[in-house]
Amino acid sequence: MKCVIFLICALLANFVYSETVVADELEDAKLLIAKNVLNNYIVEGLNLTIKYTIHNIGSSPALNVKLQDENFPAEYFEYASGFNVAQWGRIPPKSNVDHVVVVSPKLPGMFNLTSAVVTYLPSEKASKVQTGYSTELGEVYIQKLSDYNRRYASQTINWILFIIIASPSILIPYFLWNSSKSKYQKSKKLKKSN
Amino acid sequence: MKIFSLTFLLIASFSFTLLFAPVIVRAEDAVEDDAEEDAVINEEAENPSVAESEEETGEDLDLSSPDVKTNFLFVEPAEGTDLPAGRLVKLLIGFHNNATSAFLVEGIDASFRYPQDFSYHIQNFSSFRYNKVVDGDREATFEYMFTPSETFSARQFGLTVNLRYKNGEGREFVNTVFNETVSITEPDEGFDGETFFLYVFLAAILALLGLLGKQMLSSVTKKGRSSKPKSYAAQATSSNEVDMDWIPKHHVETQSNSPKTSPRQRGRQAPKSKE
Repeated sequence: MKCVIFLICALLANFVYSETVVADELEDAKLLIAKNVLNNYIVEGLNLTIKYTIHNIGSSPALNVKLQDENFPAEYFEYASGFNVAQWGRIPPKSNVDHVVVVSPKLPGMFNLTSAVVTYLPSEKASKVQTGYSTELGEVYIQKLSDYNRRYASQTINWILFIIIASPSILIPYFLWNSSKSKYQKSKKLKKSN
Repeated sequence: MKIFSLTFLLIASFSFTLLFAPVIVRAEDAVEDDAEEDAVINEEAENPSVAESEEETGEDLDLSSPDVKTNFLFVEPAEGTDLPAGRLVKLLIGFHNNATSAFLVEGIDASFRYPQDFSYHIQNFSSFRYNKVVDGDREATFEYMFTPSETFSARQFGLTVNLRYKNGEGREFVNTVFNETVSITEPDEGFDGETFFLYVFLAAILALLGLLGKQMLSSVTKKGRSSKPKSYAAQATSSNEVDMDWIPKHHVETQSNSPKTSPRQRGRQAPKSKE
């Protein structure tokens, strides 16, 4: 009988042990922050869409998550939509949140797009705030609007001008032909009526 | 008592299997070396096997710093062990600095290795330079992307992603962020140009065959009733005359009535004639 009790104890111990093995090593919340530009071209005066994605790859929720991006100062950029600060009370484990802002650069030239800063509490017990940096894009070239338009704009005015300039060489021969044709037809009709 | 001993034996065997089950399962896991989790923490200080592989590659760089923890996440595609060939693979790499001093993260490089022998490089991907200082007790995220070649589809490779960084004294470290076998899969495309044009070509061949068949049929059926037009043509040529039946009637009329003067003169003459 003692043996049976021992075995049951062993079974229980085994169960508890396996449970602890299953538990993830990554107990706290762990955030990976990506900062991406969704535009293909960065142009002065046009909208530039920035997307921040925060992935929580830990196994507990991240609390008091605050994303702050001081990368777009007012003298260089204008916020067309969205804010440079975003907050989430809680990001559950194995999930991600997005934040999108639209800015428009005021000046052309090189600009260093650096990382945003995210602060969060890694777990409910944690008292120390964890600070993390997002991915960064490095130096980017902000194109001049005129350069961009020359290359990629729809050139409607140029096409209209082209049509106006090219039209005489097509229209003048057409009218000449048309007048001679109408004369010929008139004479033919008169002949017939005779 | 006999029954008791039998049940006892049964219970004993059952519990023993249960007791050793996790050990056996873990051993199998080690052999298979598959990790399906999206995110895995990689602590090299506790993982001597990675250190061994580092020595095998012959890099004279030091091992990872015990103060640094790295982890990764495949963003594109979501499940990191199946990479579609010819498509961009994006992964985020987290760098956690537990030390009080700063580290300079220099860059990340990745390579495909031969799965049976990780020291054999098949393809090196371009290394990314970050040169970002991560202060003590901070963490940073880095993005790495690469495109596996389309010629590698439906094969397995060992993918190794190394993160290189320096401490304040200039000592270099390397963390192997990812070191697993991945399989390159064929991308499932909605529209395949090659097959589309194959079908266009087949349709063209069918249309051509249909046309040829129609022509053959018509020539076969014409043979029966072609005697009449043939003789008619022969008649026309034999009589050596212009066969006016071929020309529409109104043309013949205009030809006969055609004025001999130029249209300009006619224009002048016409009002006179009317008078």
